[in-house]
Amino acid sequence: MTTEFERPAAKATGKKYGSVADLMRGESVPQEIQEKFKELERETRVVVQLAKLRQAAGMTQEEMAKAMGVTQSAISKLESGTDLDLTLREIKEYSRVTDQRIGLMFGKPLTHVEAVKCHAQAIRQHLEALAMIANRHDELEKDIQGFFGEAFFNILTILAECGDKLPGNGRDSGVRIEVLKQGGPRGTIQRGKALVTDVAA
Amino acid sequence: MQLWLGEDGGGSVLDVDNIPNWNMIWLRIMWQIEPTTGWERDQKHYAKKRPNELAAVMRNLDRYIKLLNVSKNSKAVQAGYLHTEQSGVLAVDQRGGGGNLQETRLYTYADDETKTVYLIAIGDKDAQHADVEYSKEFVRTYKNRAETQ
Repeated sequence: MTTEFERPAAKATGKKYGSVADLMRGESVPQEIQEKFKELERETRVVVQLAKLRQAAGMTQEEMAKAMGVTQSAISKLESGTDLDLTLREIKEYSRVTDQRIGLMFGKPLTHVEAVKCHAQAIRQHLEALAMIANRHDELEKDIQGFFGEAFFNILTILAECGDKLPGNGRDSGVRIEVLKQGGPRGTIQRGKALVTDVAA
Repeated sequence: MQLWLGEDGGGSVLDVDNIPNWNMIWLRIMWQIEPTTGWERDQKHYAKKRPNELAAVMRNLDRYIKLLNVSKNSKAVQAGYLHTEQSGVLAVDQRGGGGNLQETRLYTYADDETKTVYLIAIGDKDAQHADVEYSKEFVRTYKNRAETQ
């Protein structure tokens, strides 16, 4: 058995890792332990995010407990536990106390196509809501009109830039979008014209 | 925060950490992990003799690192699986890793200046005193070296 006298002093190795998963891979920790680690990690994704929300809000467990009307040990237990032990009420309380939005989705992740369709539908709903506001509030009409212009231009820019990444710059996709930009430093919203042509025609 | 829980309980976690440009901005303040020779030796022993305990403490280390990345400094991090020892040594335990696990502690030191967490040793309850002293010695040497540089 190794005694304290025989144990060589620990020395920094100079090897740095950005995550525990990277460390385990880099240090050749046996595959079955890495798998077990992943399994445990999957069981605690929500509680870890809740603990992160509290930490990011600069709150101690005691402060969180007080705001939720529970004990500090209940918060400690919750944040050290697994997702299956959580209640929706607790998740809602973390959202309320930290004033952060929390969205939970279960089941299969959306495919890329489904995700684009969902976002497009959501954009439509929000733009329609803004249009209704513009109709009801004259004082907001100009700003909302301006926002529509920016949104139109930016959405087309996204489509154009992504289309350019397609094989052959997207010439075979049927529609070619070319955005004619005007001035403005990089990273700012640029106003300009978008030229949409039906290349199939 | 948006979480996507897949059919197997896995799936992707969609939050600010997963936005590429955001990560680029935050890269400078993300914590890194550096193993020491002590941890390298102990992890090999645990990998053979106590693989479940090793997986459990590494999972809690992962949680600790994630909290560090959103905290003002290392002292602000608070969690039930973390134990403050003397001289800045912090022990991460195996809590939540399932039943029948032997009490295990991973000894670390977080340097707020370089944003690095050093992994010093892993041990059980019986070796706790010796492991703490061993870790304190690492921190002492590390701090002395940092001061003279």
